[in-house]
Amino acid sequence: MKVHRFGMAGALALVLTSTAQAAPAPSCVTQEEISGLVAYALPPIADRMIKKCSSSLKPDGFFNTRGMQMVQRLSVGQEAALPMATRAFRKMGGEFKGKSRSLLSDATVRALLENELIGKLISELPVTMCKDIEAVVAPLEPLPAENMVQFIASIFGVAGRDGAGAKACPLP
Amino acid sequence: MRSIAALVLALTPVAAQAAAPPCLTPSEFTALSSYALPSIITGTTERCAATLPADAWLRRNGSQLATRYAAGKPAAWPSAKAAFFKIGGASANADATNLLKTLPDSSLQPMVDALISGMVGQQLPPDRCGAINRLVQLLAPLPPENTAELIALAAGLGARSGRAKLGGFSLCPV
Repeated sequence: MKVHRFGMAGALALVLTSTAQAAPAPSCVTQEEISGLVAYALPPIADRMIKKCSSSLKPDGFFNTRGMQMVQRLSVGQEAALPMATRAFRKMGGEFKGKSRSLLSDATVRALLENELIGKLISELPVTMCKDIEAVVAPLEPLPAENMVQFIASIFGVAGRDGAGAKACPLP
Repeated sequence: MRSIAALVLALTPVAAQAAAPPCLTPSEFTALSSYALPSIITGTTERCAATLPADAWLRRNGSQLATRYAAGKPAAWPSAKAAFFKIGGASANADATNLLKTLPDSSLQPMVDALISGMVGQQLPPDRCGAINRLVQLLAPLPPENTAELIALAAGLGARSGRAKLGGFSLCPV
């Protein structure tokens, strides 16, 4: 049985691999920036993931009963996280239409976040992953939204220190 | 005391590497995690005390968290004990296993607790203390059963992908 990484890990991997090929990443991505990226991207990813997974999961399971409440809680801090999310995205290197991402406007970066990160992740998400994702997310439900965001960001911070492409900065 | 420690060590997964490793079901692994978490927290707190700054979350709150999580140990013990002996059953030292099985829970539990704390103390790389401190702090609001479930899920997913190493045992295919 093929096992996939669960949602957000896949999202980060997608960003790191898709953005780092055209140009070198300028510097490491700080934990604060990773948190901003997660805080900004997680609500729409969770929202679209739950909708995509809905028909393949139990009607009385976590996603189909309380998933949207979780999305609402996560959405509270989304807009405030945009500046850090765009900084993280720019630091990941790469180009867009021949222009370095570090030079793109905020509006363009925001559109890229939507289309390249969130949209691409959801479109490429295999429905066979839904059960695993629900199983991992459900136990996290009691956490405050901020803790959930920071927890996921911390995992990225550790996982993102190795491998090709943009790297997470070492923890202080 | 050293002989008791040797007996317990003979039951550990490390000692079971020569035989075909037994597998634990997700529920057995969750029970083992639930029982072991307080000792793991205690072992981690002690191990990281010299590395973390004085105001680090683990140093300030680790013992309280271990105490809170310990409330779930009695309920987890029967299944955890069965899982422990299932792992230890593959040990080359069958005599040690049989001897430990004769011990009352009141004697066995402190040994298992010390074993777990000791293993954490020996095997946890100090350079991971900062990251662990942060993750434990963020997950601290969770009920212990949720944390144990998360650990079991992560281990299960990791085992399926071939990324997780569980010493001398494996997780049974679901």
